[in-house]
Amino acid sequence: MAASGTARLYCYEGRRSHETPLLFVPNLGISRPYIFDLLPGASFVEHMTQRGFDFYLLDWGAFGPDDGELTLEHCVTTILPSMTRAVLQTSGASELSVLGYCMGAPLSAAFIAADPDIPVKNFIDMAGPIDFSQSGLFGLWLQRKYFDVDRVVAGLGGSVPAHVIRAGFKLIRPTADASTYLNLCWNLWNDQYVETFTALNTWANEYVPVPGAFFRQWVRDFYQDNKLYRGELRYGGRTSRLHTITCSLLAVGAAQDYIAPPGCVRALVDAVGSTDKEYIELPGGHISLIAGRGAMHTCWPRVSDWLAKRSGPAADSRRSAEADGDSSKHRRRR
Amino acid sequence: MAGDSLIEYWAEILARTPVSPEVMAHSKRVLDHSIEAWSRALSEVMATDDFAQLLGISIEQWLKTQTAFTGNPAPPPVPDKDLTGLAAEVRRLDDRLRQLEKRIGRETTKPAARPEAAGRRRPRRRRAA
Repeated sequence: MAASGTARLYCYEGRRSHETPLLFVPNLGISRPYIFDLLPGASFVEHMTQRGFDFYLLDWGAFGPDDGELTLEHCVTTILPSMTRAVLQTSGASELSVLGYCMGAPLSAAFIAADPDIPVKNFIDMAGPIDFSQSGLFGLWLQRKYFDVDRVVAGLGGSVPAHVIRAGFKLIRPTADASTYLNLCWNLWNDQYVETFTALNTWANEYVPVPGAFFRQWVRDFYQDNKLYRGELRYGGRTSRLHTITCSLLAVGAAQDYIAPPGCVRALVDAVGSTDKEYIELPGGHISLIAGRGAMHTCWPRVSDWLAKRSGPAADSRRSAEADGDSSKHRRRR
Repeated sequence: MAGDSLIEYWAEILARTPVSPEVMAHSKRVLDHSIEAWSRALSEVMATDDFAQLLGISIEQWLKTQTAFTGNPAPPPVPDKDLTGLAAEVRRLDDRLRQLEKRIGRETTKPAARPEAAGRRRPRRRRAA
């Protein structure tokens, strides 16, 4: 639907029964976004389109050594606004919902909080860290006194390669692989488990580099200085103040999340100026919150129900529902 | 060959062991708890300042070693050092300059805003006798 640098906007069309389209903002780099549309019957995108939402996925793209200069500021001040405009133009809606997952949540929050005129009706933060003083092990390890981000990025040649990202994530939970493979051994006769495991494991070991300039701002402004939460994040001449966010808000934390512990996600609820706001904490980890067969029972219905109540019925929803019957397939449009 | 005999050995052991679903479930629970205990212990160690410091030093050393092996010296960090900090500083200076300009503008337009004051004569100074 739209492109900006390596970023692409995809639209997944389903049976539209809600007026407000949904823009999904995932993490930049680290991993690929196909996790959200992993398998038929185990896809977050499929679930949302079946529930009648127009689903727009922002794919930040894969970055090479030449993309080292992409900054977080550019993402917040240029890419997100242009993608928002594209969603509104394509859908013909006057407002949109934004769902940020992981790093995508603070990025979206910074973007929404910088400009109160952006017509965001609903904002969902799924496992997205906001108060980085509560961000667990990464928060501790990345403190300025231990981690000189400029030196590290320079030493790595200007961008953070996939194997370094992988090492960081493996270190935060050293026993995760043992646990994963043990569970696989115990479920080898379960075809559905093995199918999901294979897909999930392939994705989990496919890391994506992070542009150096982006990583520097991410570590310095968010982890080290906690600027977004403190209301000091200033990009493109605008300051992002979380209390200026007044749209409906849902924050979803995962109880066993080591990357974005529940406390740092929950902080958003107290920081915003919204009156309609809610925090829910669900079982699972950072990834199992949104991907896999467990998520389709614990998380996705909670999110889609919350959003459905706040997205308004589409003008033609009743007619198309009667005509379509069960539209279980969703189509991806570029 | 050694591998084959090992597999045969394990096959024999398993054949002699009454493996019921309960035994399997119990073994799984024991292994799960063991992994969880290791995870907790490691997390406690990793959540200390000492570990964070050690990790920071290790990363620096690894980068130095890598640079030595590849022969590509790391680009000097000076030009890109704290670019965002520098940008913030420039922005702050810009704001301050604008404030100063406004204040100067106000000061210079003050007399013009009060024409009667401008036309008023200053009292003549008298020389003391």
